[in-house]
Amino acid sequence: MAEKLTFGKEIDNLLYAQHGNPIKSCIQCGTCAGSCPSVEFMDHTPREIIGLIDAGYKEEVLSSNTFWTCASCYNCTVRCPAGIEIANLMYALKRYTIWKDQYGEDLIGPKFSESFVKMIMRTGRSFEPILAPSYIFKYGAKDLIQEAQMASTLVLKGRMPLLPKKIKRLDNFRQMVRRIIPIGGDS
Amino acid sequence: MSERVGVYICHCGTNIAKTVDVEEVATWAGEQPNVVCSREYKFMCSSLGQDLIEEDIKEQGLTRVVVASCSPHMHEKTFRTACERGGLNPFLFEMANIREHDSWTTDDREAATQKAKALTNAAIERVVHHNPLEPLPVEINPNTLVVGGGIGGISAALELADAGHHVYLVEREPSIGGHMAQLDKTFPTLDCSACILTPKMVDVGQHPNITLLTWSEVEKLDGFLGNFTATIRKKARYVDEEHCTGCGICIEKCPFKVVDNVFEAGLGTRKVIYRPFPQAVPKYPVIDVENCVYFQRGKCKACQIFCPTEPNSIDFEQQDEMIQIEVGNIILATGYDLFDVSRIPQYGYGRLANVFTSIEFERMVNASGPTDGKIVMRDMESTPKNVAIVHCVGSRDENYHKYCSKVCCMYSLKFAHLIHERIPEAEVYNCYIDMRTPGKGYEEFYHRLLEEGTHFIRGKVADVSDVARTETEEGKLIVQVEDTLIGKQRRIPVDMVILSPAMEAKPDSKEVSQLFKMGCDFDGFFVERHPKLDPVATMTEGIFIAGACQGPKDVPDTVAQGAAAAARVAGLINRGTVMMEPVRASINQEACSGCRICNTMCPYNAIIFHEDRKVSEVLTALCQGCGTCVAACPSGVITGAHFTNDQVLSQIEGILWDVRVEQELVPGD
Amino acid sequence: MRTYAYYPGCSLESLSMSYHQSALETAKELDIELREIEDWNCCGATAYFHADELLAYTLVARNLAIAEKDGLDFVAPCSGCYKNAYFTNKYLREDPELADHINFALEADNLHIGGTTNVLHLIEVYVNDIGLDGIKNKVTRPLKDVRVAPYYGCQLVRPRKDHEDTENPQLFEELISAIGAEAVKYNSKTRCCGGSLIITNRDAALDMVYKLLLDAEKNDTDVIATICPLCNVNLEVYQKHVNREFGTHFSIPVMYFTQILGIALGIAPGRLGIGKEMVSAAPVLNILQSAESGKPL
Repeated sequence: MAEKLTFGKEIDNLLYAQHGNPIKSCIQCGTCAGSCPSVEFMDHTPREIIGLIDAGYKEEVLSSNTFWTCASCYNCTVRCPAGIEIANLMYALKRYTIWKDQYGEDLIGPKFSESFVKMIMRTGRSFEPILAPSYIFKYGAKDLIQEAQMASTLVLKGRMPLLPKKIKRLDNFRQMVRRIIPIGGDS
Repeated sequence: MSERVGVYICHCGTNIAKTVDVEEVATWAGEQPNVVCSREYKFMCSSLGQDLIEEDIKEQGLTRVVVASCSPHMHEKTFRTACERGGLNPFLFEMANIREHDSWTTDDREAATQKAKALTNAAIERVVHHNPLEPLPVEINPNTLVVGGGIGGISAALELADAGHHVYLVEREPSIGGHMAQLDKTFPTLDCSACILTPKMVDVGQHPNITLLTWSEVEKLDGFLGNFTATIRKKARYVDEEHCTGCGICIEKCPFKVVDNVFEAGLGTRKVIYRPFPQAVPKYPVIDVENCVYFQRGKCKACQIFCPTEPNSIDFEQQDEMIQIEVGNIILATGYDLFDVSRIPQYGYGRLANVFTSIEFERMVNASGPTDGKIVMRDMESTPKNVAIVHCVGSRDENYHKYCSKVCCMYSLKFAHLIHERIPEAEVYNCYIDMRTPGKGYEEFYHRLLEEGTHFIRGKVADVSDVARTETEEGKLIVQVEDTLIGKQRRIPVDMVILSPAMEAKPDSKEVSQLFKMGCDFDGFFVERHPKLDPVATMTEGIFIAGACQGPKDVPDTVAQGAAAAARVAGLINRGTVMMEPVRASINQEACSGCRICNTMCPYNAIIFHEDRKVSEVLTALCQGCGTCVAACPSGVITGAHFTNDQVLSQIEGILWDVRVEQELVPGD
Repeated sequence: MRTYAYYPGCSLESLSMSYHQSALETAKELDIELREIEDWNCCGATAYFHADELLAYTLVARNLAIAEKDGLDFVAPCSGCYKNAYFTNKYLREDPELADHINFALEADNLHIGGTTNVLHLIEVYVNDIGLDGIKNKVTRPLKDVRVAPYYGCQLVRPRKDHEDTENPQLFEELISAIGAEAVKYNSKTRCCGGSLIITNRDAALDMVYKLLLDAEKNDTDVIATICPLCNVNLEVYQKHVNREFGTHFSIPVMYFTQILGIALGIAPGRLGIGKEMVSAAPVLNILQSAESGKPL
């Protein structure tokens, strides 16, 4: 019978191909949180997340908004004295929660990423207007109006695409993707 | 005549016996040629075990002894001594390692027993070819060279000198005292550093048994334990030490000042002819040639003009002096440097005016320093209202130095205390990762600081900037750090930031270690013989190390190491003669073809070439028995004692006992 | 005439087309060819890495493989695309198993990656390959009196690739000096603009943009120069949002480095996409005209 993994081990496995030190090298110095430009918007600091992972507080980590507030600026990674790739840990946690379909209700990030992935499969390129529904409905009325104003100004200046562009070899592209992840038909 | 070999298989409790069938091996060994007695015993290294060997030698007339047990590193000496006590030359003994090389490497009983037989047999076949060897006596020159005149070198020198031995103390700077002379107070007692150091410096300067060579460096070292020859360059001071009274008028009258980047850490100035600090030992000043107007442009000469002695003590024609000395032992106490904090740009040193390093702050806070002990900002006037002290700068960090620098927490606490003392209303913030206060009175010192109202923020400072986001931050330095104990990123506005950089090895430590024929580690610190049991000796006989050059440490540990090194040297001097291992190479000069290949191969420069007779010779005392020349000699005329061809080849044959095929010699072969 | 495999990236198609225009114009002027990679696909930005790492690498690898086919170095004007391409290339070179896995997928489009191309950011091409002297020689309208704040953003310098200075790089300042402008010294030049948080966590991103604009303004900035379309959009398109949120009145022009370079090379502003901004770039042109004519503003 397979051994049940601790949460810490699960995360180690997610990071096995990374080039930094394992997260158990963390000395809890706080440089990551001290350098983070968006830490004020996180419910746990990056250092706390590593501490929680090590202590096995899985639910608390998965329901945290910390990694979804990460801007991938890599400030933490270049300064970490223990050589841990913290920004990549944040990516790994994002992937984990999307895979497990376990994330906070009001988070925009996961839905946005899912829409993004689907959009790429559809055309091979990015097309902003398709992504709007994934976040626009979280906005209040005032924000929505401002967003619409901004969008229309951009359209007038010719900066907003009105039709999605497709790559030519889209079929090959989709085949290529399926060789990595069997998706089963167009999603 | 055949030899009479005694074989002893040790159980080592269950360490060997659990995996190796020791009885079987002993019985089997007893059947081998030349073996007259074969035993197995629980603990051969015990006195009873050793007695067995002694008795057997006497009663059975053994001429060779083999013990199959642990690693020779552990007990070769024990058993060799046992042989000696039994009346047998200690080199007629061979050890087989059936523990670290056998029983500890596998759980397979059969395989382990087979290997034990092979190893024991190898020893039996080899030992038959051993020759008796006598250790070489080496005389120990009672003089000692101490390199480095900081507190470590001073301690070592005084210990030896007080014991009646002569010491040459060589120091690179114009005065002894080292970094300790720059400090204000020392933790945890808050003793004034100069007050406790200067009496020792004076002792050194006046001691009849110490020859003090300052403004000097060792350039060449030859020789070996007990017989070193050191060539020292005594740099020209341009001051005649014989006539100079140390009155200091030359310094007073010198019209030119420069920034003192060495002693005053760039915070203060000194004259071009100068003493590093008022209590300098020796008292003779030195001229800074690069900034001296006379040496650069041929003008001035104020020092010479005003010098009152007869004859004049200023000698512009003085040359460097090369001094050669003969010593028996050398103690290196060359000290440390501080990590260059500009390697961490986010801390703002150099870019932001009021970021200081620890050594700058030490000078500032020193009563005889450039600010007379007043704590002021870079404008040399304003008093800071709040100060942040940043721990772990350049240490405990994969990007710079992985090690913990040991003393920084304590000196950072000391700084906090001094700020509280001099500016009672100031707010002090110490930002640390862990508070390391392991010494005597150290944790109590930390408590004192807690009571004095220091704000301790557990978090490594992320950056220091001057970008204000609110009113309170205007005109301040902002220290951004996560207060990990409350889980919040904090921005602390302060007037002054003090960085506590790590101690690191001096930049030329690699060259110095090579000059003294020993090694340094990846961090540049000198390598001790054993990190636990022998911290002051090195792998090179006769060379010892003490103090921060071996690793970051505080004054008490440095003094202890200086004294320890001195004790080791004194012990050697006391014995007068030391016996060296006879495992050395020797060249059959009659057969030597003079090709000199061995000369260049020897890593210890132990082979000389006789130009007259065109043959090479091994200097036995320098030879470390590595065997390189033995293998390299194309004529095969170099013998490695205790590692002759017969000995090594028979060892190999012994191991292959179970695959050997007896060959019949056919006539004509 | 050196040729590069040019990877514009999705943003440069419409939202940041002025970056694309000015890149091609300045390249032409400086005698290099930016040959667009045929049939390139999206690099995945950050969002794809939130879904699946291996797939994200594959997406990037497809573009690298096309560049490899032509034997050209891969150049990306967008820091996000650059970072993805650089590290994908690096990992593929170092890890043969990863390369095998991805090559198996690339076969579906008759492509193969061998790690033979080099990945460069567009600004590196100008500063390192063309060189500062090469640029200085072609400058006909030095941006005299214009104070330009170099905004590096994150992903050009971080993560660390070799032993370069991630805290205080100077290459952008050197470029600004080479075109005759004055580089503004300010602390936040490598501080994050919020990136994709502008959508997924608007509050956090606006806070970060606000702090950047504040620092730039405090240091007397005439124009912020960017090297990434997302940074540019965050700083420029959302300035109004920041003003509304924080009660500020920012109106700082934000231009791509290729646009200010283009002006200095004497290219007409219209051809550099100037005029399409949300925060007008006119003040910058006014300063320049005033300096050139000698008439004060």
